[in-house]
Amino acid sequence: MLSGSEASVPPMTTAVHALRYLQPSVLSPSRLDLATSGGATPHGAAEHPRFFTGALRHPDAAAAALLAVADVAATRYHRPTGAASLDPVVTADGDRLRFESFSGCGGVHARLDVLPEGLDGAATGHGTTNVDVNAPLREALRLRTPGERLRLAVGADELAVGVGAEELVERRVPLPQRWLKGFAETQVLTARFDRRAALPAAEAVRFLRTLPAGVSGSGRSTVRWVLPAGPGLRPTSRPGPGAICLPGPERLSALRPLLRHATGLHVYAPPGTPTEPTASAWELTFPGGRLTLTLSPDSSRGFSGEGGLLDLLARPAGTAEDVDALAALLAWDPRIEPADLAEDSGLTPDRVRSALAHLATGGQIGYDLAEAAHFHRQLPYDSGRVADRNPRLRSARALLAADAVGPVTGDLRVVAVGDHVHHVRVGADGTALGCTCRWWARHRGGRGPCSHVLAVRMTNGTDGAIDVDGAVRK
Amino acid sequence: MSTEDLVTAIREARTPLAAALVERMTDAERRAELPRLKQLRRELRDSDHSRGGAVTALLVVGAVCHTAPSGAADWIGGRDFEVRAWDQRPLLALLNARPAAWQRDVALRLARALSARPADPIGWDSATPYQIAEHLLRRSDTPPPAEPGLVLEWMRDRGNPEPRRWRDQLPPGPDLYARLRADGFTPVLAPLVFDADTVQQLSGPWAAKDSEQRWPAVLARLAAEGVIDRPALLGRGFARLVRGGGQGELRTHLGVVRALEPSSAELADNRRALLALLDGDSVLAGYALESLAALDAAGLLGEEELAEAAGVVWARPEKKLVRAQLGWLDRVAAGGREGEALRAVAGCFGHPDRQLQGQALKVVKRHVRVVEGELLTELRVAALLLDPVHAALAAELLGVEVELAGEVVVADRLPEPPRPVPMPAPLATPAEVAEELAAALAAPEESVAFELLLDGLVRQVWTDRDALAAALAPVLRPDSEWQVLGRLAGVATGAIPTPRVLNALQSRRGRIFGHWEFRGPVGEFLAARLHETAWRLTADPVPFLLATPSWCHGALDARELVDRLARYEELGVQPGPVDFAQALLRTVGDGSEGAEALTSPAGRQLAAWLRGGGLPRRSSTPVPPGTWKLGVRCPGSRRSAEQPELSAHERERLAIPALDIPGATDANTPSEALLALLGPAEPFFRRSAVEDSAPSARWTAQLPHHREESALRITGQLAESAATTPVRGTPQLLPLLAEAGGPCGFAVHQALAYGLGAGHAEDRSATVDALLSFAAQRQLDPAALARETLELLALGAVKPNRLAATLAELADPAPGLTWSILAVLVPGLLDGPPPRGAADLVAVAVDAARRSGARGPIDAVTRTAARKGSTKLLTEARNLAALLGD
Repeated sequence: MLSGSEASVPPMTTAVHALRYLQPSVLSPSRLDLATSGGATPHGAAEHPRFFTGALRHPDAAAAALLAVADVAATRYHRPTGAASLDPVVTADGDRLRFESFSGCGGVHARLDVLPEGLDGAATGHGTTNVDVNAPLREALRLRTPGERLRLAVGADELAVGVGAEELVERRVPLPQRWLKGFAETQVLTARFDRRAALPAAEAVRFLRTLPAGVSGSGRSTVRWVLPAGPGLRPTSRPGPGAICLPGPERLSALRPLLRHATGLHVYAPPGTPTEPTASAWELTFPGGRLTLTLSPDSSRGFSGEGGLLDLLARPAGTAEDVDALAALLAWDPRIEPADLAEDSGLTPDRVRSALAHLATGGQIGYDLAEAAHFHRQLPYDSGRVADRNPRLRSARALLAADAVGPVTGDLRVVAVGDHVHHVRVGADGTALGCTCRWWARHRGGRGPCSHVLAVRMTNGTDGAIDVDGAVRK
Repeated sequence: MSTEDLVTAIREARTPLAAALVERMTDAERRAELPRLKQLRRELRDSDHSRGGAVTALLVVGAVCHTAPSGAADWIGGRDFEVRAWDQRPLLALLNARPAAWQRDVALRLARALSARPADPIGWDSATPYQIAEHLLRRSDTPPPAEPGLVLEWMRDRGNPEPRRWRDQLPPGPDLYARLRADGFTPVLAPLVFDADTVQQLSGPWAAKDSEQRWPAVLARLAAEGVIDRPALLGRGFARLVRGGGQGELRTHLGVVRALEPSSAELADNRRALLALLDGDSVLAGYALESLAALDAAGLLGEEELAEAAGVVWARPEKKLVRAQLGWLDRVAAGGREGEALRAVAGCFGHPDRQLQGQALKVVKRHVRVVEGELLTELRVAALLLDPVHAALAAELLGVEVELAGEVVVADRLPEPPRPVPMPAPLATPAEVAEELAAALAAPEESVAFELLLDGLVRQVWTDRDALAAALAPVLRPDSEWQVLGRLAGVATGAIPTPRVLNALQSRRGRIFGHWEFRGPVGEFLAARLHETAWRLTADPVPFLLATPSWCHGALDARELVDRLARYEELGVQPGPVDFAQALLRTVGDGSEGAEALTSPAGRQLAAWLRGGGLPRRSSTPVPPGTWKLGVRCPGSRRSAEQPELSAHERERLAIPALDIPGATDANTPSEALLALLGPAEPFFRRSAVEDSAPSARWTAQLPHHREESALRITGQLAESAATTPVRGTPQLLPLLAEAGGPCGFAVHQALAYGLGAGHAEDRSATVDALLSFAAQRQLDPAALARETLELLALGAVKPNRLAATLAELADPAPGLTWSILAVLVPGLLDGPPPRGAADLVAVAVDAARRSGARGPIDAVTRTAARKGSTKLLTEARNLAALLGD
């Protein structure tokens, strides 16, 4: 179900985003040309950056995985009506290429990492942009003859293509705000994950084949639980010690076409014993790369509404200089080492952490579970700080503007606007702990604070440092 | 002519006059009319009395007054212009008089707008924009653009049997073929039917008299006649199938492709698509397999493609497809290409189903004379994946003693025995109660928050009722009263007045908690507890409840109860009889808890209860089907259980003085609800109790030290979850039984036996969890479980295929445990006439026996193995017999 606050995003915020390609991406029998749109590179913005020219060492697996990323973008796993198709975001960081997308419903994040051992050619460039994935290309990838060599070009030589400005392929799409927020939220969520299971290829195939294939039309969202058992996973009926949540198992069906290339499956989930459905990440490895699907805690929940960054966003941006200083140091590193950054910038590790967290809210930091490290990218969307326009944050600011937050009485603060009254429970030190509104009742802080709790936290001012993963530390 | 005249003419639906007026205007004059026309449009839209003719005239007149094509297209595409008679002669003349460039531009814009329309599953969208678009396309000699929306609307229009005035050359009636044949759009739009959302149209049109008049057959006929570009249509069709989508959608599209009856050459052109389909929907994969085999027979498939196809099919779970693939390869080998075929067959050696492995071996056996050299090496390597039952045949055929995988004996991996989880601390403030209540109202029912809230409400009412009411105000809504806790909170805040509660206690008809979930003895007791709590909340507050558990599964520490009762004595509070009874049921002790120091009657009663060891443990006994006597009844198709009744002395121990409630039955005996809860088993299995109630964790938390008794109380519902039409959910309580305390007797094993036969996968997983947990506590008697399962199998109360699924899931972590169940179950099964699906159980037994290293012959298995025949049951029995040795 869509939450009330998400549904009420006013239409005026749907800005338009224009994707301009020199030519459509095409697959000829032995050559995959991916066209790039405007993006960011270490040398500033580029119209059509070139990131890679060379060959794929494991073309069958890479082509299938790229198709899977595109398919996720074109699928809605919740209320499957009409497909929302968006072009994946590609990040090149010197030795590898990462292709990322979100499903139309916003609840699945797919990332394909083509690793150095999967690429045969010069080093990749640095930068982030969109690549065109059109219907004929998806069709051609599906019908590709396996076993043939495949050259890959990400971004074409402008002169070689030789087209005039009037022949550009231009596609105007609504600015994918849910993607932007999703990039930031998945990073926050997955940075806390632990590796909980590693399956060899045979067990991975066996397990993934037991999952339902189709997207259920009924919209009945199911949650499964699995336990690592020996080399594989076995189903269990409920959360308990060691249990891993598999929310909406049909959402892993994008991995199916890749199974015959699989070399293993790694499962990541939050540490500890779960009591309610959680997000989890499923990383299928294959020669030359890996494909990670991160699933939101419920098919009906998009990552954009998880609210893991709200506390951070609610704080005044007092660290603007730190953020700028750090942004200047980051140059599409495949691994971000906070210690090195602290040394290079002269900032304390805590300030580095906090500044990184702020960068993450703009989607500038991603998290690579296999490497257990953050990486840098700069999303090719002219977003400003879209995350700032979060509906709950907006409501909280409106509450403050209306002076709706009352003083502390006992362990309560009353938040009242007109006849809309809620009680925010506060601890002895004044921190907001809970609320009587429906959002809090449903999620109990599991999807970030409600607007009332957020408003109370904002009145308390800023105290405590903030982790790169957005958690407030005391 | 003044402005008034045009608008008036339209409003009065004088269409010829309006048309004549516009016809004479220049473009500038027409543009000048637009504001008034727009206003008229608003007026007509908002009016309930507008005349249809006026809207029709306005549509066309307004369109031609928009000299800019964009404006005209927007005007026509508006939702309020759903008119049928736009094609009157004067209006048509107006459209026809526009310049061709305008006509073309408007038409193309309309076509684009049709594609942008939201999906319309019911088909109620207006057809007018399409009709005008088509008219303008024809007038301006423009070929129709490849817009999905245009294709869809074209199909909708051509399916309509009614005559069209604006296109009189299209013959009306059910004959779609005649219409498409006469239609200039057909060659352009028909190849695009796969690229739009046309599933509904393709299974029509509704007016068709037989399948020959439906779209698939008509398209095939037109393609055969060359009206439609057949290769293009087929290519799009295959591309559509490969793209994937909903099952129904894909199968409809497959119907069209099938109707086209592609030739071998055409299939060869689409071979990549066919190979891709092997990985998709099972019906599509079946079609692709059939077509590829036909291609191969025609000599049009390469060796790599054959190998690729086989590789994909081996990974599929459908036996039918794998068998078809084996059949195909067998034919290939028979045709002289043995090497190619057998190399592909080798891939099937790794299939999870050993029966299919056996069939693959048989194919090898038929053509074994050619196996040598490199091929032999390849087959030997692949044979390592074979199930050990095929070891002998593999050795004979491939001439080598291969050491087969899967011979490893593994120990059972049982979980840690469950440890009880302590309850959270009591809710301390009104704000905490409010927050917890809001969450409980938004979440499905469970036990821990329920107990916490019951206690929390009681505590806060005792401290300060007004503060509680203030805190609950934002949480309680008018609809909260539909939920149990919302209703109870209403009592606590005074929203439900005292007389209403009193009425509930005085008469059965006035009950506050009387709806379906309180049916049956367990529910009635819960309702009695809630009614008593409601009375406490409204009229007779207490500082806290006695029965709130110390542990999440419901158990209450005896010492904690002693402390609570001491506090009651101190304050001079009288325990509520139901609350106290529930507290006693949740407690066991040995008399060392200091209860002797209590002085009140309740305190003395508690001391006696603890000395006596609490509620006696009663062992249950089976009730055979068809039993019909006082207090015991069991329908013919079920088995249930019963337990001895409480003795008079034991009942005496639970007799608790009633509270002083005006008009309520006042007796010094155990309440009716308590006696029913502990009483004869028959009411637990009554149809009304079974079908109307949904057992939950609140049930098992009532008797946390007596899982045998809890099991007895849910067996009726468990039987429903194993029925032919299974009810979801109840087996989820089996792991809770495993966490509860007390010995496990017949009732627990009967409950597990029903759980083994649960119809839903998640319920079977719950049964496996429970079995592992019971086994970890050494509380499981596998033989007793197997014997009861056999009884249920004989009645048809559980089904062999579901048993096999559950036991296979259990065998993965615990082969030894699984074998100990099957070692009793399988012989019992083979002794009589084996039911359908028995072979699956024997197959699981083979795996479990091997992985647990079981040895020693079993008579029934040996006898069955010696029977003649080659059914799966006999094959697996032979496998089992061979494994167990002699």
